[in-house]
Amino acid sequence: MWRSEHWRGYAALALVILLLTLVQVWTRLQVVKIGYVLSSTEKLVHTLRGERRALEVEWSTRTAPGRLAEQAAQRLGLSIARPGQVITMP
Amino acid sequence: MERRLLTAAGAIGLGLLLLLGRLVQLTTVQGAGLAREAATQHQHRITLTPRRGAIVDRNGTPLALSVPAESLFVRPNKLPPDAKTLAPALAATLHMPTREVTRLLHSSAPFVWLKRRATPQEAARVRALGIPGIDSLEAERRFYPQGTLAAPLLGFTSIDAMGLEGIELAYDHYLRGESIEVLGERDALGRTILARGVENRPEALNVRLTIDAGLQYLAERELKRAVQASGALAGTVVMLDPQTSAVLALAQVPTFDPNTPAASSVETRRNRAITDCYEPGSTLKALLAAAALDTKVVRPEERVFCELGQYKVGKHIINDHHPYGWLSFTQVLQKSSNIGISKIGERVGKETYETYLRAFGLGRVTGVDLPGEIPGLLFPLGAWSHINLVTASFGQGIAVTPLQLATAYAALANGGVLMRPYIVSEVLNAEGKVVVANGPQRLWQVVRTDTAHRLLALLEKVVEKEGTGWRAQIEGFRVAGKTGTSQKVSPHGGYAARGRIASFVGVVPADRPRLVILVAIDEPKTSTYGGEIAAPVFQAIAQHALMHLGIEGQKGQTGSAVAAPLENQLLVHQVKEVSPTMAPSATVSTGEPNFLGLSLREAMHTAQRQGWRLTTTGNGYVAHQIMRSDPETREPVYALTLTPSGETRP
Repeated sequence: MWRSEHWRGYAALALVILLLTLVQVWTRLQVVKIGYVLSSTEKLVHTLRGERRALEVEWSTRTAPGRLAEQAAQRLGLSIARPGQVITMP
Repeated sequence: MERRLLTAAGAIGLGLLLLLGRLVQLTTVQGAGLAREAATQHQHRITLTPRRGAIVDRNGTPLALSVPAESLFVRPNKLPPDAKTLAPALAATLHMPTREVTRLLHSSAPFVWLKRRATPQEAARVRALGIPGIDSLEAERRFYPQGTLAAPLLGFTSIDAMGLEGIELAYDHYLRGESIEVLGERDALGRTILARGVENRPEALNVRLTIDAGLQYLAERELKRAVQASGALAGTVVMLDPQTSAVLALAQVPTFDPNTPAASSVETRRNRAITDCYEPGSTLKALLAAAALDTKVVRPEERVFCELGQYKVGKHIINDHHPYGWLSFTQVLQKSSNIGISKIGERVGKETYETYLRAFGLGRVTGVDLPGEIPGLLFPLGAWSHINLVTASFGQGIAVTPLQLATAYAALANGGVLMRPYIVSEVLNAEGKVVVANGPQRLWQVVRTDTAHRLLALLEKVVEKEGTGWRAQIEGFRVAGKTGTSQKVSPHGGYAARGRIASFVGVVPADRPRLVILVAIDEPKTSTYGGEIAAPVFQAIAQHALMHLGIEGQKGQTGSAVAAPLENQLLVHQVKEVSPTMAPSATVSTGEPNFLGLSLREAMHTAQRQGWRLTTTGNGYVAHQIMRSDPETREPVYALTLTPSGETRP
C-alpha cells in the first residue's frame, strides 16, 4: 500500500485545486459585483450630465440679452447706455 | 481497520475522479457550446447614442443645447379596464387636450406614443400615477435658450434630433455624433451589468460660431424697431468683420422661435440674408466707382455733367431725384446721381464692369457654411445691351443677396481682398479640444489696395452733411457708406409701382475698419429712401456695437468738441477744490493727477482720456487717492476711495 507521504502529497494537491476553484468563483462574483457598480455609476454620470445640461439651459435662458434688457427696464428702471455713458478704462 | 480506510479512500477517490471527468467534459468537450448558450442568455449589445452637441456663440454663450427628456408610450392592451377615467388626470399632467389623450388610450395599435420628449418632471408625475401599460423611453429635447435670437441662422431639429435647417442641418454630422455598441451582461432580473465598463463613451461634437450674441441682439432689436416704425414688410441686417469676413450678426424680421418651429411659417423660417435677393440700387454704385478708380478711367476730382436731371439713353430716360448740373466724381457718389454714375459706367464699359462685378462675388454663391444660399442674378455679358449697362450702373437689373453685397463691401474695407464669409469658427469635442477649425479664407484681390482706400475716402463723403447718408454719422468715429433705394420686381413682370427696398451699407471706423453693416428694409411705408430709413438703423446698431466691442473713437474726430469743455471743467475743478484734508500722496505736481472731489464718473472720464489706470472702492466722490505701482508692468495705478460726501474719514 502507499506510504503516508503519498497520501500527504495528494491531499496537498487536492487542497490547492480546491483553493484555486474558490478563488475563481470569488473573482467571478467580484466581476459581477463590480459590473453592477459600473452600470449604476454610468447611469449616475449620465443623469448628472443631463442635469448639468438642464442647468446650462436655465442659466442661458436667464442671461439672454433680451431677457436681461427687459428685466433691467421693468424692474430696475434702467435704459440703454448712450454713447459717452460707457467708459472703457485702460 | 486499514482495509475499511482503504475502501473509503478508494470510494472517495473514485467520486473525485468522476467529478473531475465531468468537469473536463463540461469545460473542454462541451465548453464552447455551453459558453455560446450562456452568452445568448445573459449577454446583449447595448447601443450608446451621444446627446446632440451644443451650438455656442464666439464667447461660449449656449445658443442650442440638448437636455434629457422622456418619450412616454402606452400599450393600450395592457391598460386597466377603467382606462377612460385615467384620461383627464393624464391630460392635466401632460398639458394635452383630454380628447387627444382619450383617443390614444383607446387606440387599437399595440404601441402608441403618448407624448414625445416630455420633461423629466412630467414623466415623473405620470409614473407617480402608477398606471399599468404606460412607460417611457429615454430621449432628448433640443432647447434654444435665447429664444428667437439668430433663429433662421441656427435652424432647428426634428423630433428625432436631426438637423432640418440652418447650422443644425449644415453641421448635423458633427452635432449628432456616432453611436457605439458595447457588450453588456444581463442578470436574472434583466438589469444590465457593464462588466467591461465603457471605453471611449461617445460624445457628439460642439459647434462654436463666429456670431456674437450681444451684437446679434443689438442688430435684431434695432431692426425690429425700424421695421415696426416704418410699417415695413421685412428687414435684414448683415454684420461682418471686414478683415476676416467672419459673420458677427445676421438678423431678420420677421423671425420665429426655434423652440416651436411648427408654429411658424416658411416665410419666417427662411434665412433671408442668403435665400432672398434684391436689386441693390445705389449701394452698387460703390462697386462701379471702385472699378472706375482701379482702371483709372476717372479721377475723384473729375467733373461729370448730370444733364439737369434727365438723361436720354436710346428710347429710355434716366432720371435723378434732383436736377444736378456739373458734379465731381466724389459728388456723384455723395449725392447718388444716377445720371452721373451712368456716364461713369459708360466710360468703364460693360466688359470691364461685368468682370469687376463677378470679381466682387456677384452672380455666384459666397460659399458661406449655411444651406440654401442662392447666387443672386447677374446676366452673362452676351446679354448686356447698352441700357443694361446704364441701369446696372445704378444697381438695377442685377440681384444680390444681402450677404453677397456685405461681402463685397468687406473687400473694399480690407484693402481690396474678397474673402469667403463663414459662420462656424470651430468644432470642438467635449473636452474643448478643436477638432475642425474654420478660419479666414482669402479668395482674390479684387481692386488694388490704394483703390480700396481711396474709395472708402469717397464713401466717407456720402456720410457727411451734404451726402445722402448723413443720418449714419456716429460721434467720434469716421463712417463710410452708401445709401440705396431700389424698386422691387413685380411678380407680374416689370417693376412694382410702389414697392421699394431702402438700404444702407456702411463701414466703421472708416480709417481702421472693424465692422461692415448692411441694412435692408423691405417696403417701408413712411419713406422709401435708404438715407432716411436704413441709415439711422445702421447708426443705432454701429454705435452700440462699437461700445459692445470696446472700440474707442478717435480724439479730434466728430464729438471731441463735446469732450473738450468737460476736460477744461475738470482741470479747473482740480485746481480750485483741493481739499485741506487731502492726503500727502495726492499733492498736485507736474503730470500728477488729482482726483479728489471728483465723482466716480468724472474720475473715470479723466482717467480714460489720459490713459491712467484706476481702482476704486466705495461710491460717491473721491475722498482719498494713493498711487501704487503695478508689480508686473510697473505702471502707476491710482487707488481711489470714494465716500458719499467726498470727505476723508479721520
